[in-house]
Amino acid sequence: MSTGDVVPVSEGLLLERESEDSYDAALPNSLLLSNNKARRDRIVSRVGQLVVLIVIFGSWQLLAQTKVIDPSFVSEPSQFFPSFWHGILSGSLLDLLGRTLFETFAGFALSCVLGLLGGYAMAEFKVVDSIARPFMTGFNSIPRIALAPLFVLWFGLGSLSRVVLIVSLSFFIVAFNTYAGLQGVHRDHLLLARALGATRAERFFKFVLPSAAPAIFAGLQLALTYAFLGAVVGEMLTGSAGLGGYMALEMGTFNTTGFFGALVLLIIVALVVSVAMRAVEHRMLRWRAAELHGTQA
Amino acid sequence: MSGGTVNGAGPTPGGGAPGRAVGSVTGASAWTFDVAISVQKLSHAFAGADGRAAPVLRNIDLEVAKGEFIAIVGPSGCGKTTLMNLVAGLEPVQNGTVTVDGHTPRVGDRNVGYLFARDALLPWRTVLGNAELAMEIGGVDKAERKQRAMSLIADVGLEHSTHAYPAQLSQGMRQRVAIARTLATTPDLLMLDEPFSALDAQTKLLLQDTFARLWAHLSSTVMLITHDLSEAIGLADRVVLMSARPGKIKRVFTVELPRPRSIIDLPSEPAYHRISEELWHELREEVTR
Repeated sequence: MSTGDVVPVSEGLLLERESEDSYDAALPNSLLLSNNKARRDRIVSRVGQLVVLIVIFGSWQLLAQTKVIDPSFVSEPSQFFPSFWHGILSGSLLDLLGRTLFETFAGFALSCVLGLLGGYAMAEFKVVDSIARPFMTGFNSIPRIALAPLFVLWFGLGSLSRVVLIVSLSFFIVAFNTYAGLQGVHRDHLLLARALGATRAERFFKFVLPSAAPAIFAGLQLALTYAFLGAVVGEMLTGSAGLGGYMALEMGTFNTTGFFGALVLLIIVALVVSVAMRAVEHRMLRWRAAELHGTQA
Repeated sequence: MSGGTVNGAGPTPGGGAPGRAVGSVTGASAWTFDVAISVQKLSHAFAGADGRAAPVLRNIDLEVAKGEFIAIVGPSGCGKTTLMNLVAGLEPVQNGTVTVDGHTPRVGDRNVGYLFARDALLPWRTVLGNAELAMEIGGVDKAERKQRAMSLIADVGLEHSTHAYPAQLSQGMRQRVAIARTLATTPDLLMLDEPFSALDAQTKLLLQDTFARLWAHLSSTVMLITHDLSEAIGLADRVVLMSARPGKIKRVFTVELPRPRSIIDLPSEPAYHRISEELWHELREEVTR
């Protein structure tokens, strides 16, 4: 601590900041240090991940090639990676992927709209919550995948049955997270809103919604994962379209190479989508990083 | 108030001699002063644990002049905060009358600013965003809002942390932001409920001084609730001492210290020690009762 603490300050009140400024001044240095460390950690983890990948596919290749495991069951990386690459270049896998992604995002978008509205209604109106809750909990405990054949019966073999399946999965996740987030607003903040004379809309948009944003975002991420899952599983069950349908077809003809080729694409897409979601979240919720990691914004 | 220490000029009300309750201003209508807060025959009770009414305040009479700085001290549970909540309109008046600027108190009155022990900063807003909050809700336009916020942020000494989030600030810095947020709308009445109680001793002194310096430029009436006697004497024109529950006004002290005061230099003032001793003597009777 510097001199600023006990110096009698009569007029030059500027002095008073000294003690807290030293705190401030210490910032850049520690930030620099932790930046360097963060970069080193990142390199280590990337290299580690690469090693794990090589070990997995290397031993897979080895075991399949030496016939320790029958390649007709597990294919082999030297076969399915080219199959994947060929599918990309010829565009056949991409067409299938297009259908799957369309269903995923249509279902996800619908789940978001309905889930956000549902969660809001439950948080805002106690009556809605008390009436709807047992039904929501009840329906949410059904394994929805088991309903897929029913949805096919009702909505046909096309994309619609998959979209319905996705909504039946994702809606609840969004709704429950939205509800929990909107309920979690700090009472000090509500008191402040009241004291400042905030209108109902101001209270919601300036106090309640921002505090609910992290919970809502977590819900959206999970819902997107489930939407993807719903689309692929729905396609597999009907065996008709999209990546899931193709994979079911390849499996039915014991073409494990084609199956794993499609699986590689599926994994890559899922990774890309989740990384993108996290980037969006990080951008929109920068303050959360400040909260979780202290001084590093 | 013979010392004439009320911020701003003009004759000031209040009991003549220290120790006389302020109910004596009834005859003061000839004076050219305006009453900011008027509390008459105010009694209040809460539902106790056994279902019976537990009295919290008993027969409170208090008038606060416009521009006056009044501090309320008393033992824990004496109803200080209840009194403030009633004046703020956060709780309905049960018995007696309370008027603020001649009207029934109303929550969300934009002429009233609050500062609490907990800063209630919004963690998703930067220092600047938090300083602008009250003005945003008060409908101040964007450019002016930013300009006023920036100048207040500089006033409280945070100009290097304008874009930091609350989580990146120390407790003292956070409370500085809360001060900026509160003063940004230049409220006519400031309600301070133990605003510095969560701070360490040094930070507290610095913030009290910052607040006193900024308040000197405003014409706001202040009602400060505190446990800290030196804070009360250092900042206020009058210190109201309340008795143990149910709270009554036990005595009103007029602080005849010249302004501008420096809280940090206070211990060198003989008058400070005199009031402090008297106040502590009477308060001790209540605390140990």
